[in-house]
Amino acid sequence: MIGGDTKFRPYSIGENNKMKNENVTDVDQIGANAARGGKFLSFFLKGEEYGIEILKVQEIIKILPITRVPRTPECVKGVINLRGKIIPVSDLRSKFNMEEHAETSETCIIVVQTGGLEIGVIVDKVSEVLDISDAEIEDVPSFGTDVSTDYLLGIGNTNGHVRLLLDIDKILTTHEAVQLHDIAAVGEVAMV
Amino acid sequence: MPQRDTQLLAKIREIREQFRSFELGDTETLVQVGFGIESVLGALGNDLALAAESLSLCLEGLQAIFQNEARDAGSMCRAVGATLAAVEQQIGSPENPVTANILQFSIERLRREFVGPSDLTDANPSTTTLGDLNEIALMLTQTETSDIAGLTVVRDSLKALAAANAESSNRKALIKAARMLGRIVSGREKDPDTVLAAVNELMDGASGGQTEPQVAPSLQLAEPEATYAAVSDVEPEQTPSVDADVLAPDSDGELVNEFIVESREMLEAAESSLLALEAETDNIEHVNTIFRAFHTIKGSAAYLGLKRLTELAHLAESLLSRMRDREIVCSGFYANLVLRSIDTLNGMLANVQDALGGGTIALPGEYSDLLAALSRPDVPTSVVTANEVSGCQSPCSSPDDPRDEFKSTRLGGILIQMGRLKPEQLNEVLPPHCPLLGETLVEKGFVTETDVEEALTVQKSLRAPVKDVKDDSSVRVRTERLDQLIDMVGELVIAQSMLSQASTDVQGTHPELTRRISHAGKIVRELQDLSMGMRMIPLKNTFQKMTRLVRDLAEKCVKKVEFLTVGEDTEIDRNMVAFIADPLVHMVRNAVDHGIESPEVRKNSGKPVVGKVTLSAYHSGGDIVVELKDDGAGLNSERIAARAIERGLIETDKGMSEMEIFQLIFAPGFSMAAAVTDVSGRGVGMDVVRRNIEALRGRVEISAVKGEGSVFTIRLPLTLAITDGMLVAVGKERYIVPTIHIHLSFRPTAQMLSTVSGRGELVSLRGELMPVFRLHNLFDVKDSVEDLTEGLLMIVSDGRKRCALLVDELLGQHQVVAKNLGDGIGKIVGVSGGAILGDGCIGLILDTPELVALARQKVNTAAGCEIGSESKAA
Repeated sequence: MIGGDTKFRPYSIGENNKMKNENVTDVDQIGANAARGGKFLSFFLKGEEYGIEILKVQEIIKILPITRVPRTPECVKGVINLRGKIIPVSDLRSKFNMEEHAETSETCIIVVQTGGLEIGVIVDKVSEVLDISDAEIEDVPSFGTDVSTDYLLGIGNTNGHVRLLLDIDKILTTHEAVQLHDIAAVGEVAMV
Repeated sequence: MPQRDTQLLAKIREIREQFRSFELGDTETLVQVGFGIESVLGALGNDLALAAESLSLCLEGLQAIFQNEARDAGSMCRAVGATLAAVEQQIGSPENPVTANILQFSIERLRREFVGPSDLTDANPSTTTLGDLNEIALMLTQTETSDIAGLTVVRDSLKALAAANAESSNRKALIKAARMLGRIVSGREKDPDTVLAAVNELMDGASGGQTEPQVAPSLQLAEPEATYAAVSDVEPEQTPSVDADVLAPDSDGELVNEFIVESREMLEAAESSLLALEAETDNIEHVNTIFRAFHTIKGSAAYLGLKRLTELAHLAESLLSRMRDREIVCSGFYANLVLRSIDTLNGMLANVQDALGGGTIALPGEYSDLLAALSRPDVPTSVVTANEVSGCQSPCSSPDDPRDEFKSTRLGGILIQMGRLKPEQLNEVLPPHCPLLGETLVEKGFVTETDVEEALTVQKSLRAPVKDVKDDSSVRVRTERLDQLIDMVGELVIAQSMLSQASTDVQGTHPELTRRISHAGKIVRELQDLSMGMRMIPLKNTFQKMTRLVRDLAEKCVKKVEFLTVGEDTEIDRNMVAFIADPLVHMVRNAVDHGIESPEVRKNSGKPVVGKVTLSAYHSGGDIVVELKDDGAGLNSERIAARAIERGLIETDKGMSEMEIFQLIFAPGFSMAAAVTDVSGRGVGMDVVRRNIEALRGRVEISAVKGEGSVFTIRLPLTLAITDGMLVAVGKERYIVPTIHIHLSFRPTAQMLSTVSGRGELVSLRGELMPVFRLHNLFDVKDSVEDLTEGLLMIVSDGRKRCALLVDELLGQHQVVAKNLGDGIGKIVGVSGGAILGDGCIGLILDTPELVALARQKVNTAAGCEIGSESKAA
């Protein structure tokens, strides 16, 4: 059978028990914390770890057969059949101008909800759900006029683990590729 | 009870006794009754103004009978009798609102007797009390001193207003004005014009002095709903249109929405009944339907505090109640009036929706006009005698009960309708006065007892309150939910087919499993049929709107048109209804406006004067066909071609078939106004027609014979949800091409192909040269068949010209559920959506016309570039 059958309910990635335990998000905390702290889903792209707000994540599914849609930007991989619903899938690697990467057993689609839209994003590997407090989030240094910093919420620094926290709304509603490698550079600078 | 009243009562009883023995021609009794009434009138106190008024009306009535001026002496007699009875009751219990109410009705009825057919100043009887001071003032300024009925209305309204505003400082002024008017009405004023001016002044003062709007409690005159007197401080001269409603901010949005939806449905039903009523004017059931609609809307609107809506619905209802009582016939002017009410109510409902969540509800422009028209509808000029007879016979029960006077269906009328009695016979029996009609009729031998009994049963059923709403119970479900359900069923079907595919692999080993899966498959298929059926609705409503349109158009264009609808029960996807309505309007308009000739022209060309437009719907080969046929002038292909050349749409009409020429009228440039003047200029809005129909994956065909008429045929898929598509492969990708767009497909041979420099490839099929577009080029598909002779050419059309689309191979025909590609991806040129294929993958559905347009554009730009580079090289 085809991969369409391997569907997962939200956050129930089998081997990642951590997520299961933590998938109850403290709404009060989020609501009170107008700042950036909260729960984030971390994932890997080209060896780097990134994070997106857990509240934006609808579910995580294994990679499905993707139907290419002609005449769309490079980063739009196509559409998938999500239990009878057609949703577009965007490849974060090509969105961030990284080289293509063959699918592995760890390749996932994170279905995010942004502004009423459901969009899948392809990532190399999903890691965990973690709490990042407000104090652990640093501002993106605003030097330079690089637009790309717009796509970041901040830089999460937990116990020396640095993750770029993405503003997924902005990334997905922008049609051109996002210059993320610059951001990565910025992140490194910030770390130092 | 005061002594005076007791005496009065006795006196009136005496008069009534006397009057009962009165027979037409018996002038002596008449004079005696007259004298009696006069003496009572003299003795009446000011506190019994209503009684006094009715008595003076009775006197006038008697005078009319005496001088042989009454429109119908018999019915006048009965009206006077009923009024006298009501007066007696009123004096007997002056505090009882019911008696006042009854008296009011009697007065209205009596007043109607005075109105001659040519007298247009009759006020609607049911609106004897106007809403508020402004309206009264407005009415007053429009009323002549000679218009007694109008003045009476004003006076009554003033009284009611005064009674309702006991606390108001204006009360005195109002009462004074009412009294002055009363004097004019009764003819006691020598100089009515001066007095009227004084009253006007008084009124202006009163409405100016009013500082805050007061809502009157419902009055006990006429129907209580009629008088929600909201007195406003706005000067009537400044705002002739009444003040708008405000939806309370705390009003329950859901409730209001429900009200709107329901009201719209009811208005729709009412409209259809009204149109049907015009054809069969004596079908009381239609009137009841319309009446019910207005009545329910009135009730709900009043509950929601929508005063203006209530008011309009109420006035319309009053008009309808007269129709129901067979007082007026629903046709021509009255029908128009009711139709206008329906339209205006619809408009107001839309405004209510806009104002949801607080804010002022805008009033449609025609509101005040309509209100005025409704409150003073013209007096019927075409009252049919039979109706007249049935409308004014004496009740068979005791005439003492005045309530019978305004019940609608009379025994005599029923007997006539049943064909048991002739109107002449009825007339013979009726006047002047007949306590028991049934008995008298039997005595005279006109009818048998069984007839009467039967008629009485009918009467009983007719008089029963109109609550017998059809009992096909239904549940209102949100369309969204329905769509979701259908989506899920679609998924189920796919899942089931996957399952049964998998089961074939283990067929031999698990026979039981296979059997069960196929059983489940049956259920799923049934479920699919059922759920598909749920969104189908008959075309009836859409067709009805056309009936209305034709009626209005024919009237406007002064043409005689007979409009026939066939197959209006044909069902169509409810989502398509909205799309098909627009094109139909344009087509019907064209047919009536340009197709059907004027009666003179038709006569001269030997056709029947009445033009015929037929709208029919039927199923044909999995499609729904809607056909509009007229017997008008048809299309003139030469003129169309000439016009198209003139407009630069084509270079020459050489080699064009008539069909192709007809298709030109759909071109956007063709629908220019200049073309409308002529018969051949049937281009108005045709662009809209084609675009809408194509959006539904349908197509329009025209056939016409010059001078004999034309036929427009719309072919539509059964439902929007399911697309009949051809699955094609291009490289590793699969696409779905809607079957309706495919004319044929074939594998070309090398001889059929040619290449024109700068114009791309061409294929010649049976002498027709068509451009070839490669789907793999358009969509950048890798690893596909490049050699034209290896692949397949599909002939598709973008509505105007045909062309060939290259694909690798055909994979078979499928019925697929068309879905949106998701908002996240935006609009893709050449793709109309996606569908989930049998294996769970997604196939994209091609938007063929768009794709062809894209291809043409590409070729043109390529050609342009080439020319550009050539010229550069030169």
